[in-house]
Amino acid sequence: MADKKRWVITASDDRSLKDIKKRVTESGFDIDQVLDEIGCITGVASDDVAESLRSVPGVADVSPEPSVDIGPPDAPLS
Amino acid sequence: MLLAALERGDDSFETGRFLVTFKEGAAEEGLQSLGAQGMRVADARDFDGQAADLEAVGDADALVFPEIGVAVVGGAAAQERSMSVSAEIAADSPVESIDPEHFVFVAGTPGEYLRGFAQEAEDAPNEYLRGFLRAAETIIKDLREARQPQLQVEEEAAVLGATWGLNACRVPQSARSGAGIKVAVLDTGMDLGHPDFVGRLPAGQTQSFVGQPVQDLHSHGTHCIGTACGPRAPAGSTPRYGIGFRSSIFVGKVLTNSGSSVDGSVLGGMNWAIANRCEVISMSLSGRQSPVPAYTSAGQKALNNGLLMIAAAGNEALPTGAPANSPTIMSVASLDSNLRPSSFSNFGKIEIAGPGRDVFSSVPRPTRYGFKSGTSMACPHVAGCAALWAESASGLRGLALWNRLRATARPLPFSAARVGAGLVQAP
Repeated sequence: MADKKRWVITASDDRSLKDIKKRVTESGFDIDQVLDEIGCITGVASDDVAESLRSVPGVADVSPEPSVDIGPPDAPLS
Repeated sequence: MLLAALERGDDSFETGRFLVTFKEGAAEEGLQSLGAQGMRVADARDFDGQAADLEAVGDADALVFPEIGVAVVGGAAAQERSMSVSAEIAADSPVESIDPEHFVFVAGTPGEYLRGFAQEAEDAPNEYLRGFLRAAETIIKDLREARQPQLQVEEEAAVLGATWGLNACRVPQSARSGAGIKVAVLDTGMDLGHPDFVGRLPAGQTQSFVGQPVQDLHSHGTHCIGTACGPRAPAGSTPRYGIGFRSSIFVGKVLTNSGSSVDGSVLGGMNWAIANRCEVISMSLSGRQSPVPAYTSAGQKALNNGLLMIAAAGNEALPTGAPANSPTIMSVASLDSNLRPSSFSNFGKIEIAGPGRDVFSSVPRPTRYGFKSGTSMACPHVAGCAALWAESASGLRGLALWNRLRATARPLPFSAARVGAGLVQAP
């Protein structure tokens, strides 16, 4: 089994998260947050599971979870 | 493609438009070809002084500017006809090129520039169009004014007792305070005991998404909140550094005390700010990703709810980072006090610019005040001004607020890719 990674699933506009939540869980995606206001679900899964979710109806995108950074407190720019 | 699909999810957001440039002398033929494809076509010649824009022409799919050989085509109309930047253009077609509208005419306020185009560009060959004419106009305007912005800023600082950034944005002259407007700042938290914010940080409006207390042990969040929402008259000889001094502050801690996001913290913070219906959502954070579909979706959901997400373009002197590179999120570049783009400021997808070099604002106790530089500092200048505009009219929400901020920005003699519509201004 491949290493599990963090992913964010973005729902398409015409589907509610409820519709896809069940399918996603059944596929082996370990849900962390269900973010109703922004139409996203975050969680953990293997590459294979993530790939399989891309074809689930109502799923617009599955991408690695993005990270952002402003640098340490003494950074010259932020 | 996914991004495009997300964008197409809502036709009211207008970044999906295309600029179709016709070959020299083929404007009439081009106009007819759009009609032949079943588009409802409006012609700028039908308007007084050719002062037309796509918003003003009802349900037309395309607006043609015969004088300059350009048509603005709505995204839905273009999509229906498989018109895209990558579509192959037949050799005998009257079309010279098809370009996305969003770098120059971000999100639906082409009217103002196009009026300029229609007048200024009568004799200009097509290839000088796009951002260049606008830049030229602003250069001419600046030369006409023959004023040194730096001098202006310094004069006003002496008179008004405010930071250079607030003066440049004309905040001290504004009658607005941000009263009744909820401003979310998604950052490293806030010094909840800072003397300048007594009584303005109720527990219900602070939330951490990183597993650490909201209390800001980094200083970035306290600085950004200071600029967007700080007091009108800090104690002692401290100059005014805050804009929306009566705005309602929502502190979302989405970055740790070492300045990094953790699992889903930024998305969690975005969701929280929208759930709380914060009219202005300020995000002084940036990653090196291509546009992230989840961020784009969040920005769209914010606009759908009459809220506006504003983000720092980033400080790598590279193309705009995420989330500011999402078409549904307003991207802010940084200016130095001479009103030139800061050397570090990212570029490309930029909507507007704000003061970002040597910005004075609040930092956690015991230091209390300090200077910082970066697009992170430019972003809350725009967020603070957005709160003032939102207070000024109940209709100025979401996309309308976005458009107003850009329409009222002070033009600068630099490309739209560096400064967007120019320097943000308070109402």
